[in-house]
Amino acid sequence: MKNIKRQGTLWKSVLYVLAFSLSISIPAPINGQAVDELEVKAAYIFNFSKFVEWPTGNPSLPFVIGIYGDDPFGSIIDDLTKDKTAFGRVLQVRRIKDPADAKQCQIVFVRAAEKAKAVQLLAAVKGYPVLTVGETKEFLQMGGMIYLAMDEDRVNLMISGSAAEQVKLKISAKLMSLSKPYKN
Amino acid sequence: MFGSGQVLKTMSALAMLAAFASILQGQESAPDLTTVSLESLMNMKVSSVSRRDEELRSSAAAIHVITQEDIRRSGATDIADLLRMVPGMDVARKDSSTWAISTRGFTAEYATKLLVMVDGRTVYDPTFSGVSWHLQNLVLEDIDRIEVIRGPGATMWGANAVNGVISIKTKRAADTQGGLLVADAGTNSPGEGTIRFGSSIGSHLFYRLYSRQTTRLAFDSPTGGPGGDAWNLTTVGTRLDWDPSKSNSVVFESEARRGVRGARQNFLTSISPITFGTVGLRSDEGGFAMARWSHIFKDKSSLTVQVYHDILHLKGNNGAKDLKINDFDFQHNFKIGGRNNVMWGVGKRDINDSFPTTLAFGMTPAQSHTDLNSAFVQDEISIVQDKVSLSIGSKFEDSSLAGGNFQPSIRISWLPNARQAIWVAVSRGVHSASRVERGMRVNFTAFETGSGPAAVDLLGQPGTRSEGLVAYEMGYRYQANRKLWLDATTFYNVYDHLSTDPPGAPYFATDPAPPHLVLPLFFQNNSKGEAYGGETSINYQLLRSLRVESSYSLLLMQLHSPTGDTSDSNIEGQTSRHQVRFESTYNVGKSLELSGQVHFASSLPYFAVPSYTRVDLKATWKGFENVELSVAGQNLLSPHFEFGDIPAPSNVTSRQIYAKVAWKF
Repeated sequence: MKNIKRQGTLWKSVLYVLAFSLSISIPAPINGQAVDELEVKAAYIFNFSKFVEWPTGNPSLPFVIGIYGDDPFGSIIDDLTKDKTAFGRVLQVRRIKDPADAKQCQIVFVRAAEKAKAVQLLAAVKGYPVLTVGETKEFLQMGGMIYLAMDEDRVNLMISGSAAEQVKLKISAKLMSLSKPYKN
Repeated sequence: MFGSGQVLKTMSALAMLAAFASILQGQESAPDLTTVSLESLMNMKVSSVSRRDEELRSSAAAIHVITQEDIRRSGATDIADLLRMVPGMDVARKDSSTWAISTRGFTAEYATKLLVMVDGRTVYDPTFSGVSWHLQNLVLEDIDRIEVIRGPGATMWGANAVNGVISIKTKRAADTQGGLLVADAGTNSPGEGTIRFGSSIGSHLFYRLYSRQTTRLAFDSPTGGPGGDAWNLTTVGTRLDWDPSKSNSVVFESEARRGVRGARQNFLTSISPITFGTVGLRSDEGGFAMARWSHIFKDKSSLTVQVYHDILHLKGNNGAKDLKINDFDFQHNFKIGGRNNVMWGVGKRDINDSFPTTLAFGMTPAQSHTDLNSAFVQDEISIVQDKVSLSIGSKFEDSSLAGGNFQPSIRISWLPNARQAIWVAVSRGVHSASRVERGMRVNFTAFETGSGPAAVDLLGQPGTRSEGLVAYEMGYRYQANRKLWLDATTFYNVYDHLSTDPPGAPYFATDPAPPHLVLPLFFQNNSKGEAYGGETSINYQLLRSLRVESSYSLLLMQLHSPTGDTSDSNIEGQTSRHQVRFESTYNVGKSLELSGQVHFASSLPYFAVPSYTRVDLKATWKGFENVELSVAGQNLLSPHFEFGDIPAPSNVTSRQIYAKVAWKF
């Protein structure tokens, strides 16, 4: 009887150990499990800071990603860009209320629902080296540079090379190659 | 006090809990997408729930979209069962092949107030104004979405969009390339499956060919014996998408189907002596061909032209019925200035039908040709850009059978901020009198009186007019944060000229011999009344891997029929007053997906059907590449009735368990 009881205790300890080791070894899944659309879009915006060249700016100033109008990202984009740099400049995310403030940003994002704000934004940054990112095809037609497009359940890119060229922004060949074809 | 055994038990339990929590925690830390390559970002699948809710935010209607993901996670094998997940839909299974489906009241096997379309083609039977749900044998894996609107359909849709519109859209051929083989078997079926193959010719023409075979076993009859409702159906079809240029696209769809269905229904074969025959087996044959062309002009305006031909041939011991529909639809969409989005269109449908003439059933005339002409116009006006929009329009219908009607609608949508949306609508819906209401004769039973047989007849009347509805609706949507959505709608429907079949004065008839007493039930439009209630649903992405959705719908009816017509409580008692639903999907690691649904429907007093609760569960294993294995249980709690014996007997909805394999090649 005493032996059986000991075995029971042994099994429980084994289970205990297994349970913990199991929890450590299961990796955070990416493939096969749906990711949040906003996380993917935030990651794209972060990547633009690596694959686009801006005219040389003041290296002591932060590299600013602006969000004009309603912010769908919230903490997602803050967490993503925390402690990261671009061109040696600290990455910063700013929510801007005045379209004129967009001139101080390197990248500005405006969401699909804010059609009126998109028009104001593009007018405010016309001629300035600001990478404009939107969520509709109309955005490109109005002069925007990058359209984060939904293709079924994937996020694709459509880039207006001519819009970027007009303000001397150099989009790397690698990024351009991933864009869906767009002709103004 | 605590023995060492107890302590260890508690510690192990805590350890398990901690381990489980840390598993969830491990799943919950956001993947670091900053280290992922651009190419990988392009290939990542994003969850569609928030996107679907985002798109619907500014809709001024009680709309719910069933996505392909919802279909995939559901254990439902038939379109009819998929509709259970829509708040406010009343889905009652009568037997293995028959469902009574409606929304906001009037649930019936032949529900007259619901419009159902597949890729723009109407699939309800205009002679009965009902849908043969089992004939909608679509390849579920190739459905893109099902849009369900409760309330009179937006003015542009077809006839009978009175209480609701269901629009089923299949995927474009370009999205169904390659091969798909699906097979399932279980307590519901000895084996059935689907095969689909998609390919392209050049870079502008995509097509798919498919075949779906459905074989189902019988449910149990109320006495516990076999229900006699086994059925099978084979469907073969194709879809072709051709985009010859950037501004033109052509879609062609075609399908042929053939099947056999068992029926427990009896019908009168003689009144002297009184004898009944059994319907036994019924065969369904039919098919359709549809073509649609869309053109986009330089100024972004667009037009669409669609034609289709649909045939149906139903045959049973009680006769054969034929239906042939030819339909033409044209639609033009254009903008005026920056504020007006105008849509208008015309449609022409010609319906040819032929009914059998037997003792039990007849239609006057037995064969007929109906012309239905319709037109609609709608203007969506942006009053305050991105915030307030007003939609106003009307549909006009003129039927050679039922005359003309006019169905205006006005809808306002207000988005006070990015998190909320409010909408109100007032619209009119019309159910045009059908062949059934105007000219049907059903001698559905007879009994011996002391002085000869007496027959009970259900009789259509040539003067039957169309039923009307004015619906007052309102809705509210709230997005609390990225993970939590709330949707609430409420409605007040005022019906007039409702069709009921109250008893009329008995009379003597000499045909068929011998002379006998007839107790008639005449179709009449003397009823009216109100229906009101609402639907609310909450969608919560609790964890990355766990989503829950909960909904509640309420329907209250107050009908006012003239004295002698007891239809009020009958109609009020044929739809559940309360429905509560709870759904959850949970992903375990990369390869295991679990989902479950619990659904409660309150009783149907008219049929003495008590309230019931359904539990459906499904587990899918995605561990192998290109193959999905799943096991699903439908209605696992207890067998029960979901509907009553009108017009045909209902069987017990039993528990079903099946296993399925889906292989993409």
